Amino acid sequence: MSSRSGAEVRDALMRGLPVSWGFNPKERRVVLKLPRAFGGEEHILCIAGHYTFVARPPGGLFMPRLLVKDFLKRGACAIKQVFARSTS
Amino acid sequence: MSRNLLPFDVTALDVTVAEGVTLKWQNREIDSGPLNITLGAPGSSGVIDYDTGKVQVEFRARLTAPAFDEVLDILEDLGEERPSIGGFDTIIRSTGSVFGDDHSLRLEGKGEITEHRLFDPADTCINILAPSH
Repeated sequence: MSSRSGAEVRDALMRGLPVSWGFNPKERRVVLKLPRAFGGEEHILCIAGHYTFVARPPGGLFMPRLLVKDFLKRGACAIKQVFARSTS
Repeated sequence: MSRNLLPFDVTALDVTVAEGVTLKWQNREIDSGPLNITLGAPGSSGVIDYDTGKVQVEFRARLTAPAFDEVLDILEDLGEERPSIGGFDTIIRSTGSVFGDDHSLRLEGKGEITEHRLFDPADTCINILAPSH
């Protein structure tokens, strides 16, 4: 969305600044199948606009669900490895 | 072990589908007009993993269109109770890659419409395709 380099964008995110990305309005990116109650037709549509991310401050109390899932998955892998070592 | 994870909140989502769609409902054809997708319920967030170059994000979005109000007006005329919220709440779960040269994101995902009295959400499909480049 901007002419900044990847490192500059990452740095801005790390500093807690809002960073936005846009959609190419000419590209068909959304497949929408309507419910039968509304005809059930399928459409492939272009979308225009943007979305913005702001990094969470480090040490924040709230851990996003996706991060918790990743943390638990890695924890489970580590436990499996310990068990594998102790039984081999 | 420290990892290069960057948790973030989604603070804005402002998307328009200008062409809209035709809704066939109660033997009528209703032009939806432009569809708007904005942030809905709180909690849109995600995480960038710079070690793997992957991003995961959950958008809690609301889908609105001029025609939805028309549908609600018709419902009201039919003596039905008008829902308090116009539009449809949806959760879009996206994953993709982060490209280092310009930090562009190649997101794709699926949207899931939350419970709605007008139709079965399982009967609806929203797929977000990855950008071509």
